[in-house]
Amino acid sequence: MKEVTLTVDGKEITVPAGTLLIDACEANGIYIPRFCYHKHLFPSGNCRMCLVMIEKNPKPQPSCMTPVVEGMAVHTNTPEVAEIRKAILEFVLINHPLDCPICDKAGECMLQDQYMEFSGDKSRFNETKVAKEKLYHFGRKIIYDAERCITCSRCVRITEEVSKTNKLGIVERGDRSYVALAHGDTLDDDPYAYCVVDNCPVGALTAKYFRFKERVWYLHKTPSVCAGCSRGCNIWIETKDNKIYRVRPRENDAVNKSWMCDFGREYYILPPKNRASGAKINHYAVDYNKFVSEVAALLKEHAAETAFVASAYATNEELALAKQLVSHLGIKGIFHKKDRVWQESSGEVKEDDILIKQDKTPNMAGVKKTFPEAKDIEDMVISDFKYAFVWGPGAPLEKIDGLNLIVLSAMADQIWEKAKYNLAGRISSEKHGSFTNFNGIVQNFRRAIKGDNNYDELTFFIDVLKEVGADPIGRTVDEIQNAK
Amino acid sequence: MSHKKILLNFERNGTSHTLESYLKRGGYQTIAEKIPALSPAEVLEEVKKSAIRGRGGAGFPAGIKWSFLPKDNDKPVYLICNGDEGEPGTFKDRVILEENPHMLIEGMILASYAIRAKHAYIYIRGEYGFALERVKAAVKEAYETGYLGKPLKGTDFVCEITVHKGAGAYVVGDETGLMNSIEGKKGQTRNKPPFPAIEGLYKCPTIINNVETLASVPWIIANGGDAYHKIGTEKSSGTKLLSVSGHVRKPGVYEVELGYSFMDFLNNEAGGIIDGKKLKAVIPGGSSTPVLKPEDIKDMTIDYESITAAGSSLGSGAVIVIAEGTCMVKLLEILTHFYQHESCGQCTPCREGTGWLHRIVRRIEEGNGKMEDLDLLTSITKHIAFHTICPLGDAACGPVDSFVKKFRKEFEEHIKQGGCPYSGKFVRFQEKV
Ligand code: SF4
Ligand code: SF4
Ligand code: SF4
Ligand code: FES
Repeated sequence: MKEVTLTVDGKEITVPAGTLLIDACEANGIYIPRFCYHKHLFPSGNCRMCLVMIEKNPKPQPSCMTPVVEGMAVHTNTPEVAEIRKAILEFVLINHPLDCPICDKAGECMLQDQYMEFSGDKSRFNETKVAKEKLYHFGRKIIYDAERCITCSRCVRITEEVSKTNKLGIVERGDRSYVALAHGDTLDDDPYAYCVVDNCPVGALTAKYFRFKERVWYLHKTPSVCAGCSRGCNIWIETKDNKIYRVRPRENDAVNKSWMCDFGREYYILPPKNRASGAKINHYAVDYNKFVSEVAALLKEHAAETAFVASAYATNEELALAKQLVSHLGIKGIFHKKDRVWQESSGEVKEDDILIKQDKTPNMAGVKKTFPEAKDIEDMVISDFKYAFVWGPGAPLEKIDGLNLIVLSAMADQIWEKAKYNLAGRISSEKHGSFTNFNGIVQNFRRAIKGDNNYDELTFFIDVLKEVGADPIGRTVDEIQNAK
Repeated sequence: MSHKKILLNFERNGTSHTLESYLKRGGYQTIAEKIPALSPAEVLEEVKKSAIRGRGGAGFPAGIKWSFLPKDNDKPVYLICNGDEGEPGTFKDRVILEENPHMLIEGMILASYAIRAKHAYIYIRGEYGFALERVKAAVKEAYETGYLGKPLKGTDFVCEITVHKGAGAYVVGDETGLMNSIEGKKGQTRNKPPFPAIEGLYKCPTIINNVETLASVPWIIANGGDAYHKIGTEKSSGTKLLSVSGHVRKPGVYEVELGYSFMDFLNNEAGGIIDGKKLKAVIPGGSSTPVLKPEDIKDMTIDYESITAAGSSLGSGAVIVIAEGTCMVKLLEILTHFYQHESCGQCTPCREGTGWLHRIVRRIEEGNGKMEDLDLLTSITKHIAFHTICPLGDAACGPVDSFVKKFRKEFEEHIKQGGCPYSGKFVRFQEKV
């Protein structure tokens, strides 16, 4: 790739040709303040916060609109630039309500942060502020506060460039401008609507599910991977007191950039339906250890007549232990399924060319890699088996009805109800591990909350392995990853 | 002084807009006689020689602008005639649009030919309903006669013109705002670069010229660029339409040769100040150009250099004359309100700053001003001007800075007295006098 060398504040830097000045500076440790610029949207150059001086140019230039040029000499730390930044912040704030004490964005607001870093001056504004609508419902998901809005147009560009629904626009002019939907429209059927909330630099857009629920600085952020489909968007799960308060995309250029879909988000923030719980034999709760030894004994005795149905919700590490178990016991009938549960909501997008994948399981690629010999459960010949170890939800009941079922699942579906042996497992927010996405990218995630009355599948397989006399290839996610 | 008439070379009797009348006074001769003999490059050369400067306000030489088009380019080139005459005080293009539209069309054909434009647009501001009708009728006539839509005599070049009506926004007077408007987008400007000549309408190379500029081209081609250059001054060639408004006896549109004495113009063409009042101030080139006092204009001539030397700008040639007895604070309140109202709202300094300026000036006029407000005003303009996407931000600052500087006493009086010291019929500038 062609490279360009320029100087910023006297320091020589080299970046790929075509890089925007704002990114070139940032990559070299010089952060240029901004509101409208977002690295995954086309720049619009409207907030003017990123103005810098470029030699031979009498006017300050927006660094978010300026591609680097060989030999360019840029100044970002002159008194003039500092003064411009203060002035822009003063302008942004003259009509901005002093809502910080009740604003959900406080604590992670670009306006607060940049004001603290680049100004701190008292306002000289003594007039009446422009009053606007503070409670504008953008549908069931989002509320817009026009007074807090700094009309940076990020949300407009997200509906233009990311979700491509073109639902938002800025109407009116001058200091009366505000963001609006077409009359009667909502963001409900925009599959990426919550992204406008994440990327609003101020608190103008709030998600109804999170609004006024918790101050952001009390939330604990855990890096995770969305289990809503095989894309595996990188996310932050934000929790307090073992409860998920908020889910946001975690930037990853190779997978999801700065976005995630609303289906994925609601997968975490809506209370999960039909969670399985406990360890049961013949519908009676049993002690976990008793469960492990009975199941181990059973699998050992009936290995030849047991069908093993792998879960595409399992982590790669769990799959590795399961693989060790079936090889050790000599189980030959290995199957996989396409799990398509939890996606009955109306208006759901099956697949698009943005992020959403049709395969709603997070780790089918991991299953196929671990068990290349696995057959589609649809092709199972039921008369070959007496037992089935069904892992994860969503197996077609009619295929396995009549077999003795051992079910390990986080979800209590029809099969769970039919099983002779039940062990409740965990969902991805409750465990450590990794998934392999549809593209073959292996992504680690950490446990965000503790499971309730359910069991860690990794531990279960370790325990069963020990019970049948095998030495597990590892006892933690790290050990297993290193063993592989 | 009698002035050479190029644009208003006809009797304004209500028929000048027709094709028949235009042909009678020698119209479309360049198409019939010159084009067959001239290559596009030669047409461009004549316009360059004429040194005509853009009449929209910026004053950039038109021929040079045309030659900024990329040389090897496989995209279509567009020509746009900017008839979004929105600068307060400006109404000179309106006379061309309403009374001499065929001269504009002829000019656009020549310009399209010179830059090999695939399509040309005439953009007319939304408020100009009558002008729109006249231009549409003229374009129709030109199509019917074959000046448009058919190959020009002796060439295979076809000129096409579409008339486009604006929706009423000052900011589309800016080239890039105008292009967005034609594209069907909100009338908001674009960041430059890229400049329109490289990436303009529909992302294609585009030339935008003012009505008056394009309407001057037929004369230039008919008589030669050198002949045009001989009119006016060395650096300000040709004639200029001035639209005079305010406290003069004969407001209206006049065509003068550049270099003409401003005071002569004021006393002769414009008929002097009404009611024998004394002159208080002049805004020489539209509301965004700095205001001048009588002593600034004593020896001023009407051309780009002289008005710039006097501390203002020829701008669009919209002369606003202000008589003794007018409240400058009230006048500034009106002007700042205009800019607040017209700010497109895209960029922070203009969106927020224009409203702030207006509220301060209004407060002073209402008698609630403070002495600190005066410095505050100029420190606000310092951070609007040149920090915005488009020139509206700069335009909003011109009057504020110059009013506060030149009429500071008046502002101070308002503040000290806690109210407006003026009374009588000149108090409210917008009242009919
Ligand atoms: S709502 Fe937020 S993202 Fe949208 S324009 Fe306003 S400040 Fe920007
Ligand atoms: S696209 Fe898939 S992985 Fe990404 S957020 Fe949506 S459901 Fe989750
Ligand atoms: S300067 Fe004013 S009119 Fe121009 S782009 Fe900015 S906000 Fe819009
Ligand atoms: S970040 Fe560059 S103008 Fe907004």
